[in-house]
Amino acid sequence: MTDNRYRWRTNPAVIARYVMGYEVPSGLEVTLKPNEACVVIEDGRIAGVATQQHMEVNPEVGLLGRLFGKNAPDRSFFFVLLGPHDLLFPLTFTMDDGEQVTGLFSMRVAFTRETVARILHLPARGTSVLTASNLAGLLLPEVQAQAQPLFATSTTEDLRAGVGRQAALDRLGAALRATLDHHGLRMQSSFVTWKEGEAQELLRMRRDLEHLAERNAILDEQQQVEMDAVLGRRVRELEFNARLSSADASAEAKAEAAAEIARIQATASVDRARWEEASSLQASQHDERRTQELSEAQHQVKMARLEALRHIELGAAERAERADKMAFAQDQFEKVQAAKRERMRLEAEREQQRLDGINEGSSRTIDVLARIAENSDDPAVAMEALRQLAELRKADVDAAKGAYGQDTPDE
Amino acid sequence: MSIGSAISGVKAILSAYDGYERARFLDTDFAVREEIRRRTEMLTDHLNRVQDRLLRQDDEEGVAEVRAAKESLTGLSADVQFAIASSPTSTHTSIGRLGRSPRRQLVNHDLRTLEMLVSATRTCNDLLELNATSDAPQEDVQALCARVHDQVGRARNHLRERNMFIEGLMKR
Repeated sequence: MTDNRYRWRTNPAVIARYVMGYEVPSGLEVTLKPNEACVVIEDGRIAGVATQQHMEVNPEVGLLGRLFGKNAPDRSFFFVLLGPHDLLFPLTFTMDDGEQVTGLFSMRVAFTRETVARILHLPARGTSVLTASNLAGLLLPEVQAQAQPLFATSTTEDLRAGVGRQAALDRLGAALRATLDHHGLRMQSSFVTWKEGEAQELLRMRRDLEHLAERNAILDEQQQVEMDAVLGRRVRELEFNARLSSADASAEAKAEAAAEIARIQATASVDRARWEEASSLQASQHDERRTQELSEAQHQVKMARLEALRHIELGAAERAERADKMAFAQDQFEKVQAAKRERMRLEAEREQQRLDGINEGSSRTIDVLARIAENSDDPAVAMEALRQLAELRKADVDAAKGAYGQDTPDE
Repeated sequence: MSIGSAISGVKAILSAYDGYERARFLDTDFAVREEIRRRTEMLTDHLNRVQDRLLRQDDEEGVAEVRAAKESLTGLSADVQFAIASSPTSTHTSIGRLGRSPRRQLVNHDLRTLEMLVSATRTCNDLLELNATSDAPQEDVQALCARVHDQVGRARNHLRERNMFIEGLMKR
């Protein structure tokens, strides 16, 4: 049985993926859960936002439609995990009293069916796979700019004690609302912690997950869920810690936060062990894969070298054979040319002897005819002797002209 | 209230309502949940405006009340997003069936939930109007904020029963 499921989320860090229609083979199906949505774009228009259903991703036009001249629209899909997503922002301020403070601002945001299409401006700028870090990166400059006047003006002690923290967070939320709305996001809650160690730990965990997404490492689904859940629990723990440490919080809220922290901390050691196991497993898998790829590459280089040597060896024998053949052919050619030259020399000599014989015979005939012409009493005989003498001379000259024609050996 | 009149009552608020007819069960369920979610979004938008004004007026108690109401609305939105949808065609043995009597109760229950949210919306509109006037007493604004919060909370608690009707666990 073939697997015709379309899997758009291969990593817990991925929260959205933009896919062109031609990238999705026909017949693939996807099941959208309550917290997932798919924006379907047809011929440049948003045709709809599907959620909580099982559907064929890219259905083709039916036979009847084709008969009536209907064409498949130009489709693309934007799959989104609606949320909530915890966006983490590192904050570093130099306070009015000169002390530098490092903290972490966490904002829980979610897309809704109505607003999710607004984030389409990111794929349009080339980001087809979206992670929480992408969103945090987009918002970070504004968060830092808006947070600076709200937090940096109080003293370090007040900041750590949480005096006026909730009011500052409310103002920060209100200041960020327009920007969040622009990206189709709605803020659900937020908190800030000024404990540097916790902030660094949380950012490191988020980075681990992001690295998996960057390397496109596909862990098994169980591990994905676990890593996501562990990070979520850690964020919640810090959130409740921040509430607990807030000077503004009521006793009831503090008691509730303390109970929640106790509950989360009960599983904290197991969580940390799971996280370390998952990340070390991923790291070892990565190392193993890298080592394997290196050894394969080295093996291929060796094979290529040996193949080249084989070619050289095979070529040497072939070249020697070819050279022998060439030498033999040259030798044979030289022999043929020499024989030809000898034959021509002999022919020339024979021709010369023949011509010499003819010349000698002709000279004697000329002498006889000359004597007849001189000594004959009959002028007619003398004239005939002279005429024959002239013809004979002419024939001799013609023969001498043709006797040494061009007859050289072949080049 | 009979099922017919209950359906008509819901239709007055939500025209896409089909009263959980077998073939339209999922559509009806989705319509109800989307309507509730849409109303929570609308109420959140209203409360955002109120909160902005209260922040400008440095009314911390009012802001805290609005924040609490918004948290309840976020919770209500998540409740309907992840609510049990059931399926009348499911053959799974653990999934309950919606009989005729629970169906009537469910329709009445939907009507009551939507009415509660309509009531919360009206209170929120009153809050907006009061908050827009510059000389509105802080106590009145805070009282209205608290009232919106209470109404949302009640609607949320009421909605929680819906899952039990759908699963066929409640027949009253």
